[in-house]
Amino acid sequence: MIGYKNAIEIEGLTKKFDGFTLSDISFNVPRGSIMGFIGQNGAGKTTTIKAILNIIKADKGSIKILGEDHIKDEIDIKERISAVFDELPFHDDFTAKNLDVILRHIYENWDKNEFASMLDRFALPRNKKIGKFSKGMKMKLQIACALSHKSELLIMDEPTTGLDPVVRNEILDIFREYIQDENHSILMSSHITGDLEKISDSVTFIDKGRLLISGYKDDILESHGIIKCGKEDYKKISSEDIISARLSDFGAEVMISDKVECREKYPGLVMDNATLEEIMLFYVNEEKKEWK
Amino acid sequence: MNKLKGLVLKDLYLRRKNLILGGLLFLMVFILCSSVCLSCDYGNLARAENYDRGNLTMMVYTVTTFALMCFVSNGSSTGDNKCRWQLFEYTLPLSPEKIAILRLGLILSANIFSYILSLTASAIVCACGRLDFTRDMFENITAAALCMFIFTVILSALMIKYKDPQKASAHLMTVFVIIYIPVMAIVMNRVNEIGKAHPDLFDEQQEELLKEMFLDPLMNVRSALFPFTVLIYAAVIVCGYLLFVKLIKRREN
Repeated sequence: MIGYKNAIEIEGLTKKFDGFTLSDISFNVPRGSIMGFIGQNGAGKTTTIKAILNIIKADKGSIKILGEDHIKDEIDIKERISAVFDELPFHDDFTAKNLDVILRHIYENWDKNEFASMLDRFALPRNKKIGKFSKGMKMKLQIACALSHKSELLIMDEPTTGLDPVVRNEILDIFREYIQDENHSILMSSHITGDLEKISDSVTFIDKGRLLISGYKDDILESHGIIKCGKEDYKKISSEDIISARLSDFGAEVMISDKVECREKYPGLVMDNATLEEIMLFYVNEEKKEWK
Repeated sequence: MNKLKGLVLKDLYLRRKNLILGGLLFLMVFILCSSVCLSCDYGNLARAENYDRGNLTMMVYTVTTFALMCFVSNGSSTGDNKCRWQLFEYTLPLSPEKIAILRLGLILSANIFSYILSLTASAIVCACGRLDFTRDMFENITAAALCMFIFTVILSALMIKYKDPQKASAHLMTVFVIIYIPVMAIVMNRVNEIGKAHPDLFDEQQEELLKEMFLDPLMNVRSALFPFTVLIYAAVIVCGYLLFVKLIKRREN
């Protein structure tokens, strides 16, 4: 079990619904790293995460978690992973104390002292009904539960959505601490690319159920760029080099995927670094090629 | 089993208010019915002329009904899907088999508790009214408890399937109405026939005829099945378990 290379291995994952198909998704989350799973609303992030957690059955493909098959070894795996959702999945009438009592019977490695110390760190009351918690407090409670049973993998579906910048920063710090242990890994889906840019080691982009790009964040940021040019210069750029282009009355912003090559091919053109958000935006419009 | 303890505690935490309210309601009804029975010998009803002690049987069955209904459990909280606990449960290290056992266990324990409570309360109410706790009463209460168990298992299965207590109840009511309408049509038809065939009979005599026609056969079926109660419970448990496991495994397809 300790000898796995990737915390998550997904190969050819396919799932069909009415009106939406998750199609041939393949990526790995290396052990000891944070993978940012990026896509706009309805791209298929939650569907992918649900398939990983065996909440929905995939039509095709294989998934391995911590080196084990996600269906055959499901119970074993779920003892060692935690899932965090965008909304707190606990009854409003529970208190943090109730959750401690419930979860300590469910998880073999539940650490009540660790849970208590997380509650203190987050300044969460033990006896207050969680229905009265703020959104930030609810997310912190969920994270406290996730980190209190020695899990090796955190799978999170938009955990920072709707939180203010202070709380988001606090939560990202916790994830940075968690990943200090090289046996810990995180898969975090979000459409807030700023958070993933701060924290992730690798990223995977998904749109309309298809994988757009997957790799190390620094490599992707290093290789991608935006050429800003006038209409005349835009015509000189080969379509093979263009991911997509945003046109305006004055010129174009062109996303390219190989900055080094394009600097040689198009000297004199202004080439800016791209952010993850811009990369997502341009890749989402890849089929259109030109957009406004 | 330790893992199930966590979910049992979860259920108890959520139901404690309802259990307390149910307990209070049952207690009120029990005291009321016992008081009516005691009144036949020591109260106002003792002074009433020709009061039919047979009416006290209604007090016995009222207590039974409340005992069976106040503590019923469908194996999970109705809020599980609303708050997404159901989604969270899928991420826990619990197999569908264990979850099915838990749900059935909760339904069965609530049912057995209610059954024992209804027997005890009915016996006390009978004693208060100096009625015999007859074999008929015992069989009726057992049949009611069994019917309640079957109903709750079916409702729980529908809730797992539809993930919405309102949808589940609507489906159950639809099935009930589909069965109820033809049965009522047959009953009403027979009532009319009896009324036409025997217009000279008093209402009480017509009621006696109806009782012979419908209630007596039902009672005969009840008495015939009574020795097999434990077997029927076992069969419902096995079928319920297999159905629950199948439905839980379907997850969110």
